[in-house]
Amino acid sequence: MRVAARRALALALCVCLAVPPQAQGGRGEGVVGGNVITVPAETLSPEGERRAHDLGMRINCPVCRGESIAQSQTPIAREMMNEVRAGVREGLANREILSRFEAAYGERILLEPPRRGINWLLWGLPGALLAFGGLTWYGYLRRAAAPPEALSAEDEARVARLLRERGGR
Amino acid sequence: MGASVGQFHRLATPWGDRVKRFLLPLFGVAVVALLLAGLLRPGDPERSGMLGRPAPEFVLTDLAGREHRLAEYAGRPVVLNFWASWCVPCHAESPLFARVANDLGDGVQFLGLVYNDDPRRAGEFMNRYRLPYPALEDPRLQTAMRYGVGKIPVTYIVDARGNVVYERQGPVEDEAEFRAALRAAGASQ
Repeated sequence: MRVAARRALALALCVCLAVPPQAQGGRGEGVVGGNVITVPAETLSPEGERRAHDLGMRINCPVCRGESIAQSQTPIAREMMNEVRAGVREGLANREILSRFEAAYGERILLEPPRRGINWLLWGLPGALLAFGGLTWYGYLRRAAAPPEALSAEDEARVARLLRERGGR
Repeated sequence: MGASVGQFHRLATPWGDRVKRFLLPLFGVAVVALLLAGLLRPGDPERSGMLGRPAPEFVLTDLAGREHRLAEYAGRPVVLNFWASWCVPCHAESPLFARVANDLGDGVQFLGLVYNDDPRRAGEFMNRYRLPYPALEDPRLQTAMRYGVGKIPVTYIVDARGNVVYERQGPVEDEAEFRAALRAAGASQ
């Protein structure tokens, strides 16, 4: 019996030790095999989650350039999305949430250049080019539709002479 | 036969001439010049928004379980190095940090901030390079985010007044430049 009890205890210990190491954090965090897995502590309403997603689409992933944090699967991007959700939960305005990231990462963290300073050139140039092109095209059409200018008597005679010469060949 | 004189349209107005001869080519040259300027300009080194600003405060625990606050090191330069054991350039720069940290002693406080890493592997990394300073765990990368850290390694120097005066994205490779930056931040040597 003692041997059986010792064997049962050894078996129980083996089962316990075979379980992968896990540490449970306080807010839905898990550390499995040393990789941090983060889970948002509280979920947002559908409207809040939509707003968080839209904001996430405007923030550049600092690791995967050109990809937003809403799309990127890097750990830092997921944590940044959690920060966005926290801002939405706190009732912050979009501008305030974006400013937090801009303060730490600089202007480049925003996928859309902010509308200030020399960035107005980026925002205004396409519209200005479109307007310029439109005006130029309008001006061309007006000139093309205008009746021809009357020639002077001298030019008329010259043109008539040239036409006769061509007609005679 | 013969076309009517009235059919000759005078489309070559003075304004049209001006557009064709000057403005359109000038516009084309300006666009090409702008593109060339952008292509040939050396790329700006990536920067966070931290340089020149007060370093954000943090309270973090090292691998031995001891708590560290940035404020407790006020009055001397602090080196903040974000790293991980899986980061290849972090291995390259660690001997330099070990050397400089040992040379400068208590005059400069080095702090390694572990970025998304297994604590055991982080500890092995510290031992491997004999880094004589604490390695602080950064749960959920909160401190990394506040310091504008994306890719690692990243190194900041905080001067004695608590302002970020040096930033290096990527490994620190130039020891002379790094030591000069530490002197500028208030290190004695």
